[in-house]
Amino acid sequence: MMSLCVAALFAVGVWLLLSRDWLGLVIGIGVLGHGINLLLLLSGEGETREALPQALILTAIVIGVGIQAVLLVLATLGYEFSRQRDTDDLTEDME
Amino acid sequence: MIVAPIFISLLTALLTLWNKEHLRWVRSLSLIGSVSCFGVAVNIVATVLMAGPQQIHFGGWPPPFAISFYIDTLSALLLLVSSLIALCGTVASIATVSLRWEYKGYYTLYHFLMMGIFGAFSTGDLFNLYVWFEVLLMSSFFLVSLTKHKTSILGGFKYAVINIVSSLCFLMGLAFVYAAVGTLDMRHLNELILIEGQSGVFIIGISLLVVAFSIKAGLFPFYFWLPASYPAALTAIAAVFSGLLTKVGVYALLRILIPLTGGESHAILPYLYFMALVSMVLGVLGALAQDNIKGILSFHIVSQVGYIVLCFSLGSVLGVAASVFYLLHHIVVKTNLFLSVAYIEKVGGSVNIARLGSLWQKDAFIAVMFVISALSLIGIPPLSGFWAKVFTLQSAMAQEKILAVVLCLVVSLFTLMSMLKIWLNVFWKPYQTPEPQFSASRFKWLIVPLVILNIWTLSVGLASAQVFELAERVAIELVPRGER
Repeated sequence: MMSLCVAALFAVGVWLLLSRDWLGLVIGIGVLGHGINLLLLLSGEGETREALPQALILTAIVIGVGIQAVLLVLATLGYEFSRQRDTDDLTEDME
Repeated sequence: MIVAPIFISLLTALLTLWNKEHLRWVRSLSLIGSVSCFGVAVNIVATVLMAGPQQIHFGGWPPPFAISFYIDTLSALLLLVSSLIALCGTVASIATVSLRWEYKGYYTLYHFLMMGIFGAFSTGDLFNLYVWFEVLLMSSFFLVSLTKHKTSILGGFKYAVINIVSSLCFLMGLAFVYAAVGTLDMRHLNELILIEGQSGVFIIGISLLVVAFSIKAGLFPFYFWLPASYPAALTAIAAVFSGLLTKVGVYALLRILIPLTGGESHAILPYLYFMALVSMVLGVLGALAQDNIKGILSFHIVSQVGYIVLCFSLGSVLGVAASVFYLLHHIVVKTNLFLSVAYIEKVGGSVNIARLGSLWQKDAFIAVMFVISALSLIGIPPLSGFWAKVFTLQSAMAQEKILAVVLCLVVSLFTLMSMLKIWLNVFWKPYQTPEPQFSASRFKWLIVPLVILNIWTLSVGLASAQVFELAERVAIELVPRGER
């Protein structure tokens, strides 16, 4: 059951990550992050190693929230500059 | 003691936040922090060389469960070089960064970045390594996009997305490794693997880690973010990035893969060998196509990381030693080249080679400084780059990798060509650049890091035998006993 959840989250996350919209990309990274947190939880199943993954996930969630915030800031600023929601149309004009 | 660089950086970062209206306070604090980090790093190297690897466990738990910091010769040497770069970067920032950014918490971000880098070099635990990576990435996102120009925001966004994807990969790899072995302490993990062998799940985990670190190191096919984002950052911070950030990825690859040589994950090394060769060639070809000096130098990073990875992907003691020597040479030279660009930018008013010229007559000092670093990067004796390439070629020859030898030489030639492009256009070509408008006398301080780093290149080149002995010591510590 848990494995199916991980699979679903990964599928949704990757699909969103590949979308060309800034916002889709940011949300995709978030969803993928949750999938990976569940995967970490699964890795600790059995025997006596369940405690460590929970501590790791707690840290990973905190870091994940921080990353989401940073990405949203960058995405908003980027949108203001380029007026372009589509990441494919970002040009690379150096200088 | 061994976590002192991390705590000093944290303290400096917080203190610069506290009273940031007073620029003099912030700058001197920043300088004091960097100098004391360097002092501590020198001390750590001396201790490790005399008394062997140092370790410390937090939280009062016995070794495999505690959060451990572990410093062997490799970590100590990299701490030394990175704290030297941090010091030079601080001086260069004080000299060149405009007041606007200095007031906006530039130094706070800078010291958090350094904390992440020192942490990554001194931790002994895989998950801890992940956390340090995040620390340094978070501050680097803001440092890239600090100027809020269009290019720096867009470059910063690309940089952020690709690096976060690599972090997710890292975390996924961690989950698999933990599921397979049940520990994340690196030395404990290596011991268990030697006893139990490597299962399929473990190989999947290691492969994911290798992908994650290759993205961070800027290896082919994952290097595209690098030339898109580094030129967009301020030159002083781009210098620190170019010296240290990709090298943290290379360090992690070394740390993970080399102690496992001989096991099944040994099969990953030939892929890395291939990736390294392609990034060497593509990096230098990309450099030839650029017109922006920072662009040229950014592509060179890709090519040079290729050399470093090539050496240790051979898996031999000689190869690992060569790659460590290459690291010690490359970090310093690359930073110095970027700092020269910061100087050129101030004197000539541009970083585009079409809009620069005749700097040789105007400012012979920077010409000499640039030439020393450029020749070192290309590999001209007696500078450190020459010996780095000699050791690379030796380790490739020892295993009769003729393709690698030929490509090393050809890529050196192309590196020479792209450096000639900069030299002819920026220093030689007659061109009327606008009169420099220095607003600040602090600019002259930029001379200090340029001279220090060039002295390093020269002395590593002259004392190459002794430095290589150290590198061999690192290699012997890393490569498992059965494989020597």
